[in-house]
Amino acid sequence: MSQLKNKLNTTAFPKENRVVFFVFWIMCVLILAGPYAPEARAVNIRSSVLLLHSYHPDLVWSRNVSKGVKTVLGTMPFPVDVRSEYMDTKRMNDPEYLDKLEEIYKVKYEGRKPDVIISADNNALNFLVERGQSLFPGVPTVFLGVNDFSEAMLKGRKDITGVVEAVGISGTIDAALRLYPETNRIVAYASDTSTALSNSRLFLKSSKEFTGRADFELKTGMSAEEATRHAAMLPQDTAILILSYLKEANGEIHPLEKTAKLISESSSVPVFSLWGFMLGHGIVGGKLISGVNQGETAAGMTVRILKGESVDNISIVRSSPNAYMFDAQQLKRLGYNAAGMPLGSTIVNKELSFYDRHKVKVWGAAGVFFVMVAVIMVLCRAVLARRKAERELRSSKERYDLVAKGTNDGIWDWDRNTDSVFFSPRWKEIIGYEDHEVANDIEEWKSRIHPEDYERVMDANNKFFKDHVDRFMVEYRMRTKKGDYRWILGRGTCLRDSEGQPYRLAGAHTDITERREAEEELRYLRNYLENIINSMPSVLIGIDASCNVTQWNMQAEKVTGLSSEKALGQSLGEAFPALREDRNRIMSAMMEGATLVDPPRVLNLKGEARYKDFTVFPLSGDDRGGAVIRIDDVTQRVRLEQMMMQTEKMMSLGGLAAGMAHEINNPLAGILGNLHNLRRRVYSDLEVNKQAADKVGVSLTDIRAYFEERDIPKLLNGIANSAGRAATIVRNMLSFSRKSDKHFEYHNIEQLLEETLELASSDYDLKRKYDFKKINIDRDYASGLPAVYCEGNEIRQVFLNLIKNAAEATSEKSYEGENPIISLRTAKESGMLVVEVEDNGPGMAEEELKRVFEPFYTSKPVGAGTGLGLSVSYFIVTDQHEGKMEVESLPGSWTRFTVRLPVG
Amino acid sequence: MMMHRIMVLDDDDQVRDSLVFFLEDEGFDVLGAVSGEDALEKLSEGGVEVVVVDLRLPGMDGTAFIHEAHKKWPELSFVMYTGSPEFRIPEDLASLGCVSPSLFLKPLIEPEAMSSEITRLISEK
Repeated sequence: MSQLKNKLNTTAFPKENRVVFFVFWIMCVLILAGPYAPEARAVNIRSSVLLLHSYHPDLVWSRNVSKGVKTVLGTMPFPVDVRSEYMDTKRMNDPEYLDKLEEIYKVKYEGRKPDVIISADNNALNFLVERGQSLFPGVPTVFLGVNDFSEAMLKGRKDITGVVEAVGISGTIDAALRLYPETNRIVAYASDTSTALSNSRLFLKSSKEFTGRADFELKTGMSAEEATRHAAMLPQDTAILILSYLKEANGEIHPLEKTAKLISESSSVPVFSLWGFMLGHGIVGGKLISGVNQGETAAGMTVRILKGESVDNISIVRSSPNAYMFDAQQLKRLGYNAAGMPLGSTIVNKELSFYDRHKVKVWGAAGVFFVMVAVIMVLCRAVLARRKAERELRSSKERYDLVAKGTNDGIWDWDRNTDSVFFSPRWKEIIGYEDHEVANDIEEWKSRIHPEDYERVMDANNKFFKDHVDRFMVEYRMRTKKGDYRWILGRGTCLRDSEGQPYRLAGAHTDITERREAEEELRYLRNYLENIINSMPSVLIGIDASCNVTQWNMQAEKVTGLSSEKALGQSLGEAFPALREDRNRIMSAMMEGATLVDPPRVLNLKGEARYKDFTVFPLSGDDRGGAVIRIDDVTQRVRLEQMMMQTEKMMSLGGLAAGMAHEINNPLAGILGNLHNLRRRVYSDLEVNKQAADKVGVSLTDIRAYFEERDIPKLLNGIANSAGRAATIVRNMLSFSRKSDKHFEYHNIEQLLEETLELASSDYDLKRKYDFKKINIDRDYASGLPAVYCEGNEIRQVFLNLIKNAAEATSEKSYEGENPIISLRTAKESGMLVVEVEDNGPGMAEEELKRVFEPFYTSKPVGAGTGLGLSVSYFIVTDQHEGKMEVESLPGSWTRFTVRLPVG
Repeated sequence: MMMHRIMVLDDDDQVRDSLVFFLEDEGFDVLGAVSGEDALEKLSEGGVEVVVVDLRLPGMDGTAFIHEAHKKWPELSFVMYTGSPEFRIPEDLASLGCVSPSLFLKPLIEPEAMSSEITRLISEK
């Protein structure tokens, strides 16, 4: 076994199989150990013992003896060979038979003498005492089962020892009374054999021990049948004791076992006896002679002899080694007082335990059990491994489910090898279907893609195949069950085979309809906002915290000529150079979050001087900072303010002029009046003149001649002219500054023109800058024109403006071979009175012609003109008089303004 | 021939004198007055048919004078002569019927127009 074990241990086994192997190893040991162990032990030299039975082997007694002997000798540390001989002297015991036996044994054991002889029962001992010395010389003998032993029986033999046999009547009765305390009578049956007589004597003798406890009754001479009948009629407080064989009616000996059986079966009281072999045959038990005990005791002595102890030293055991033994079946049948059970009692014939009955099956089952255990262990291991895998799988599945649920994505999986598709319930739910309503077919997907998106989606999908892209993302619309469309964000990836072809595609669908709608709304709002911003007449520029342009509206484009695309991202200074110097102020406004408002300033944009308001609004509520700059063109407002100031000035000047005119007109009246008187007193033929001349003695003619001689009339004319001019100036000045209310009257248009010309010629500016006298005034007045109903002052103002402009125009041109000419023409055309003021100046370009009536448009340097003259004229003619005003020009040749006024 | 007596009311000496000289040369008997009060006093002496009135006067102005004089001498006629070009004959004066509708502005470019208006006023009586 150790070799086997070593061999197994030296074999290398894969680690993972060790548990399985160990189980099998245990099983093998268990299965093999039983059958092969005895053989493995049969090695040493044997001792030899002859067990010589007096009777035949069928007797239970004989079997028990053998059993007892073999039990002890079998446990020896050395092997003992036990041979049994059965003399069968119950059937034959005459001297001839014994002689024959002797002869047989002599032949049989000649030269093969046993080391020790055990003799069982009296006959065998007697045989050996008488014939043993010649048959087995020098072989020690141990006897057992010897009744009525006496030293004489050994006839002086010293090499014999043994154990006697004696019935335990007192012990049996004692036990009977203890087990059945209600017993008051012991009935004993016996025959007339020697043993019966002996036992009967002992019974009667022991009755003295139990005097007062129970009555003893000995029935001798009854046959088995008689005893059986007798016993059946015994009262309940009786116990039966069978002391010996009973005879049958024919005188034959009735076997004890059968006797006991008959009696106990017919009687309802406990039956006791004295021999162990009767157990199981109806007796309750007793202190019984035990073949086993006899055998064991004798074998113990034999062992001592075999070990080399001298027989002399081993004394004869004179008390029979009886044992309290009871039949469990009978005890159960009759009931018993458990407290009365003697100590050390052996209960036989117990209900056989399961193990006793099914020993092989139990061991078989145990073997199977162990195999099963082993298999179970293996399976458990497998199950555990599987469970772990399942747990991981479940965990993985749960994670997948949770993630899918968390992202609210629909999942799809397309295996091209099998052309099978999986759409998750959520995938279908996004487009409004129950799980069962959409088949797992790729066409179900394709057929629901919006026709406008189809190509795009297929292109994205085909990138897997053509471009070997491993991921794709595409946004498209899918038709829902209701027939409307949802926006889907489709994302996917693929697995490729060894040739790089995708064989499995999988991914997710996200419902982005709301996001798309929000984006659409955002786009709309952005567009809306963009339109609002662009519709602003102001320049709006968005800048970030580092002064880079983030917003550039259409007005900004128009003003700078820089497109929004180019401007975005540029620094403010680059995009709008006019604001370059304001950078630091803008930055600090953003830092402080304070709105910066500048007064209007002149900005030169695209070569034109304009007044601009400049405001910086720092962005609030945003950590990123930045600001919006608003630039408003306030040129018009500024010009209006200037005009108002001018008007105010004129108004006050008008008041002043009126006062002044009065004061000047008085001296002028004095000068002119007196001049008039002077001339009349010299040149007119007044009577008073003649009278005065006569009085002083000179003739008027002489005086006049003198005056003539001294150029006095010329001097007087000079005074008249100067004073007259002064008077005209004052009158005209007053007529323009007059604060009077609108005063529509019928006017002669010719007269108005002439008055205006008069004023123009006395205009200080005109006189100084343009030599008005050098300009030829070409009049072409139509005759018979009707009067015009108009506000004379305003029309005069219109004409003055036109004439001044014409004069200015001529000054801008150098004339060679011709003179500067202003042509004034009047005419009547279809109910309108037409006045033309034409100059032969440099003319005007088309651009200038278009804008010439615009308020504040001026070709003059800043500050030189208000730019209002023509626009006010236009207003007066078209609005106040419901007339028309036009301009025509041939650049380089002439400019013609035409005023049409309604007649009447 | 009988000389018609007229009066020139003007605070400016040169203006008044030159007009007085002119009208005397034209054959009128001309009185000069420097103020409304002066004129009223001289008028009470009688004989004056037409008064040439300046508007701006110290004390009583021309308009007030005309009203005052008209009350006392309803037959008296008036010619207005002023240095204020924007002046128009007010309705209340025009409605009196004694004021010449022709307004004469200073300086008089043609003094004969005034003498003929005065002659017209006298002849209408």
